[in-house]
Amino acid sequence: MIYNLPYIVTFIILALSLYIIIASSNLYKKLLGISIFQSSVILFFINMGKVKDASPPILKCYIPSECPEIYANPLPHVLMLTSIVVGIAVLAISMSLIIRIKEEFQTVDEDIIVKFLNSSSSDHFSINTAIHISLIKGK
Amino acid sequence: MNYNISHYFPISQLPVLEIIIPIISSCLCIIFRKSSYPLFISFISFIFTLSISIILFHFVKLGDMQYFMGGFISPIGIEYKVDLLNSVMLILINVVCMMILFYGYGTVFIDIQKEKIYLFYAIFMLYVIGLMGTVISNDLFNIYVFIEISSLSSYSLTSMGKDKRCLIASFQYLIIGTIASSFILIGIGMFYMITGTLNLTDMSEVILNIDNHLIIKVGTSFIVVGLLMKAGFFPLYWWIPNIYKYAPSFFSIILAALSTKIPIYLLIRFTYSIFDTESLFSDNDIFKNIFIISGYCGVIFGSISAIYQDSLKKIIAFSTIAATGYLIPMLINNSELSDMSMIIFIINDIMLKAAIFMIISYIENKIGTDSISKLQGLFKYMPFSSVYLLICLLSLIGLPLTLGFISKWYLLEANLQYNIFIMIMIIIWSLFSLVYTVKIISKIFFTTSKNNDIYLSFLKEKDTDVGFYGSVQSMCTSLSLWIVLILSLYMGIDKSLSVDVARNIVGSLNP
Repeated sequence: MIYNLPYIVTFIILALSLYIIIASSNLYKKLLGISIFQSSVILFFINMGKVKDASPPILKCYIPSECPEIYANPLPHVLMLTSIVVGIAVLAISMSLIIRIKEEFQTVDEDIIVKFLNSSSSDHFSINTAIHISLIKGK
Repeated sequence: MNYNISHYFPISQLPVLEIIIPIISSCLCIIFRKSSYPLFISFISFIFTLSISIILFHFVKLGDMQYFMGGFISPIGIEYKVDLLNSVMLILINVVCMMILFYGYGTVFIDIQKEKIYLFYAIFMLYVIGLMGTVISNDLFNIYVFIEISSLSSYSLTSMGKDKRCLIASFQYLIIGTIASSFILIGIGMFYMITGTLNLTDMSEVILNIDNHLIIKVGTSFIVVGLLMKAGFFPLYWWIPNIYKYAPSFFSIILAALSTKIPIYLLIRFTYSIFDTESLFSDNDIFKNIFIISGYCGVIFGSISAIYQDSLKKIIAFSTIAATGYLIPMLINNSELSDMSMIIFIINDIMLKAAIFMIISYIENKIGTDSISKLQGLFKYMPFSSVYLLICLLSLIGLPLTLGFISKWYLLEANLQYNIFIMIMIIIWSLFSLVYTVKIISKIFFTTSKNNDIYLSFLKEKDTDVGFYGSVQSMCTSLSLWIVLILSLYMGIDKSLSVDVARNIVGSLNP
């Protein structure tokens, strides 16, 4: 049980971040949820790389009889370098999308925006009146 | 004699040239950004990749082609492998992209400002690189990286539409797509944890000897849920109609044709190599029932939503969701005939959705909207486009002598033998799709109203329909529409293009 503790913590963080994504109505907070979600995936892979009584995977000795017998697994760490870069790209694209949404709709709140998305008309006048009406009504 | 020409110099480098040539040309698109240089650069690179994929299809008959990145042999390094299934998907992707490039020559400036067209072409090439890399790669983590490349490019491309609502649609797509990709990554991690290798062929051999079935089931569930989220299976399909409608028309064609088919291709590929289908789909009855119930809900919700829509693109989007609903449970059947019918359906559906979205985008660019109420009496002003749309809609229902009939025949035959619930699903879907097809056809051909005559009469002055006149741009657009129409009519009449290819694919996957 104690050896599974890192994995249990990883999946608790995963579930919490999914809840953040679903339950928050502000688009920036959804973005934070996605960032935490990707961090939990990175944690999962790093936990995988640990081997019991292992030394870091760095080759410092050249005489076979004195070298450590067990090295930790470096491959998951390398895979996670790629994954971190992908996470940065996702953050960059979504932040620029949120900036554009703020410019066009003057709000970053998901409830108001989805109400507008489900309305059927698409000319500019009714767009602005729909948003202003919902802003005036509160929320 | 062991002489195989595909091991020697030019031919053996082809699998990696397929990916490298578009990468270099997308960088060149940014460097040479003047008037129509990006278009010519991407056109030349797609000619290269199309010819490479046809050459690969020819040489694959001698045996599977492998390419080891950097010279590191299989379990240690990354491997690209081309077999029959891969090469057919590559040809389909490249043919659709060529047609879209022709189509876009006349229409890309409608959605996108002139100064940004070079960026659009560069990101579009990255999207196609992501699709091709997913198909050609034989290494699990490399497949994840290419999935991410194509997803990130499509988030940016979707947000370049004309209507402001494309931004929200793109953000919803981003959230769902990122969660799905991360689920796929967790599943890949679980498979790596238990087998120690990331190579698909190596893993399929190692997994036969594993005792611990629980972690394989959990890893399979994560990968399957991630791929189903990307394909648009029942509970998480609501983002699809928004992006089909609000994306720029040039990009919505390839989005409709390919974005939901690549995850289904990956499901087939994983089922044949790393998923343990005997234990997963046969003694675990709950798993099977969840698939079938979700499929039913997808078909019913998708079809009923399609009947009440006003926008033509959203109708086709809901029809795609319903098609995914009955296609994915067919993985349960675990038989050669149902896999063959799935591949026939994928091949035919890619051509069909490309044709439908091309003509809908063409009509939308001429009229200004794609709502059905404005389409009344279209036949009088754009007769060729109306007949084109009629042929595509009849193919969607499944009239004989069209593409849809062949795929539907084989689907029904496969499910009649193995799983009669899915057959009932397909019949329900066909009946529902009749409803909105008749609605659209009656509005176009059989009604005219005075208001719409005033609305549409400007078309007659400009003499606009698919034909060979006017500027080079509009001729290219018309040429692409003609080629896709002729291809789909030919594939509907001569079934050997899809059926025999699918039979050979399934034969090569089940040795």
